[in-house]
Amino acid sequence: MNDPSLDRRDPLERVWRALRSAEPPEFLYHAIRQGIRETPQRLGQARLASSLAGLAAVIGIVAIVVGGALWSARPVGPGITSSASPSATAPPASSPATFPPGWDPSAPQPGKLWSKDGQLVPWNVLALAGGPEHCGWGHVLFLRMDARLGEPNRSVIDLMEYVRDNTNAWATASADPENPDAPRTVGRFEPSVRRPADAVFTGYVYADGMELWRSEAAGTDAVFLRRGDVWEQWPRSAVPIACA
Amino acid sequence: MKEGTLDLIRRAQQGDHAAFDELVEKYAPDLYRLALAVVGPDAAADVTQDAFLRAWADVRSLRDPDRFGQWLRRILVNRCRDLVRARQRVRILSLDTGAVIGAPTSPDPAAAADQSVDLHRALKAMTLDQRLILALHYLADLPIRDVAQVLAVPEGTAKSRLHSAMQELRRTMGEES
Repeated sequence: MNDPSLDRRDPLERVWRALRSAEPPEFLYHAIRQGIRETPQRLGQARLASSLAGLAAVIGIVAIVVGGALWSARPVGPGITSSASPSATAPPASSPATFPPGWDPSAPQPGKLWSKDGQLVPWNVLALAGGPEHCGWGHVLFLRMDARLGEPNRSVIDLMEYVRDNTNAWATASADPENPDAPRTVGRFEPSVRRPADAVFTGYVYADGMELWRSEAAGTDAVFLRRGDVWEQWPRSAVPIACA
Repeated sequence: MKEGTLDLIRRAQQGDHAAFDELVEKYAPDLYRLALAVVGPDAAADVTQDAFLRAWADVRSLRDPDRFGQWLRRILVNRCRDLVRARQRVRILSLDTGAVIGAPTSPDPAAAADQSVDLHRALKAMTLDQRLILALHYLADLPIRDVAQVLAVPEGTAKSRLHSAMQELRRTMGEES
């Protein structure tokens, strides 16, 4: 079955043999057993598609019946116009009125909640936090989210942290004694960038009107925060960030 | 796949916790060993647990229960990649952790130690993809066709990656001359 180029006397084979004899720790079984009892199952795609198709059909029939009745009873006269309603996640055409005119992009404003579609977002979905003063990180902001934006974060494995360090000194300093050249972030904080051509509004809006945007080109390496015409690029942290 | 296992999978798809518990007992050792080879002893249990919880959450979307094992491995591989992406550095298998992965099998401990150092250096020089493909092929004993499916790459790509991984391994270990 295997590639004959790997001789069984190959040193690597000894590693595989040792690995094959490794057994999972007992706590792993307990953790999984407990975990699945706290984790709901998602509806399967096939069933979901079937359910949605059925639901859509019912809605369609109801819409035709009700629409026909309303059309028959519609008022006729001047002043009636129609327009396409904007998508719930479409970016606003202009800066929201909630932007403070004299907003200072260098001033940290952590600790408030984000919202989406008019609903407040739990802190474990999206949170803006200030760095601890006692570590000298008071000027740094951390935007924390799950790798699947919109899901509550439950594991450090999935935690994505984006960093606003307006000095870039903290972000470019290594946190790894074994690798002094490794910066803390993937790329630099950019206080003023052009709107990325492929920018997509996530729908998330901070308490003061700041918007969270992403771009296909930047991927998970950076996010974009927009206030009016000001676009900032926040790089992702390259390592888990902790302050003793 | 045996009918008993298929029955467990179908019951798990109906939300049967006990059936999934049995699947965990059956598949956890292989998955854990794969994680051990790819992300090392510190993260192997976390990645394995996470893969199973994700599998439980999504098992209803599995259309072909016969592919359960492959599907689980693919979830695990993705979790390993997520881990690397999150931490931007992989903790590779430490050959000094004999207590975790078992005692050395060489009759000559001194020679084994020397080779361990070489192998440690070699694995450290490899990319995540190279380590994954070696582990899937040589540890999980999957044929190239299945390795390609787990990694979601064409079979030809899997073959060339395996070839380059072996070349890299031998080059680093000084076996090419």
